[in-house]
Amino acid sequence: MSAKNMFYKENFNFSNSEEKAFAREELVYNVTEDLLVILEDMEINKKELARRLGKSRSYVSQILSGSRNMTLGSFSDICFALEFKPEIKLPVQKKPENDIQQSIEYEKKWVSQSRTTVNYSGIIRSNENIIDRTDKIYWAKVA
Amino acid sequence: MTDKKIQNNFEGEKFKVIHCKGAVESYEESLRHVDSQKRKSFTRSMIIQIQRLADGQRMSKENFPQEGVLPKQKEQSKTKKFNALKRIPIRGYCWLSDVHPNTYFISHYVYKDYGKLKDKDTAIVGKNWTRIEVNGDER
Repeated sequence: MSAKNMFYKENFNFSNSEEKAFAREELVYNVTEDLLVILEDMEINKKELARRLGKSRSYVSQILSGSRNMTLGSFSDICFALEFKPEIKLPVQKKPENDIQQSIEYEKKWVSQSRTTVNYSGIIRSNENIIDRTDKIYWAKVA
Repeated sequence: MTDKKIQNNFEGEKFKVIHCKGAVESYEESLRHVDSQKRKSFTRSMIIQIQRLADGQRMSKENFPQEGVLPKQKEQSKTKKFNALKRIPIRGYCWLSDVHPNTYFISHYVYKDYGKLKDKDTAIVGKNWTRIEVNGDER
């Protein structure tokens, strides 16, 4: 259940655009609310934040009320002005452990098979194949 | 938007939030003063605030200020205050219950296009508070 049910009946169908608006406003509200709490904890008012940002007080008010769109850039600037590094968590999945092991083994194998060295005599060597560029009989066969 | 089947409470990760009797009706009444284009956005905003409050995340003094004083009981030495869920120009007045653990009660909503808290609103909160905290009503 969500707090939506305090205003809408439980089986109310929200359109995709309404759900999208909820998600957007929830993110904006929670980020701006967190910033307001941090400002209160640090005893920094909007005027001081505006000074640190080199922006007007109304700009700061609009950003923190959510009425002005906050870009990632302006968000970063606010965090920098307040001297903390924000963390943005996105659900990037970690590569499973066995996948990592498999890919390491695959890479080892691939590298060992394809490791190629060039020597100055014109012979290209790999672990499995040796092509002697100076071998005229070989080139005759290929032709 | 609303009908008889809406829930009068929501239980978040930390707190339960309950609409007192008549609270939803007062919300609908205050919403009538809002531009019809913005009504859905206002409701979303109020829902999101209630969600955050119920989940026990910290609320800023700016958007969750202490607005007025609750009735004082005889044995009580300090006065307790009630807060407002604030989404300008709407306010939802609420208090943290002493009787029901981890429960906020939202008394009522107002369209507040004026500065100072009205005595009338303090009286409504006080009446709801007494009804629930002293007389034992559920909501």
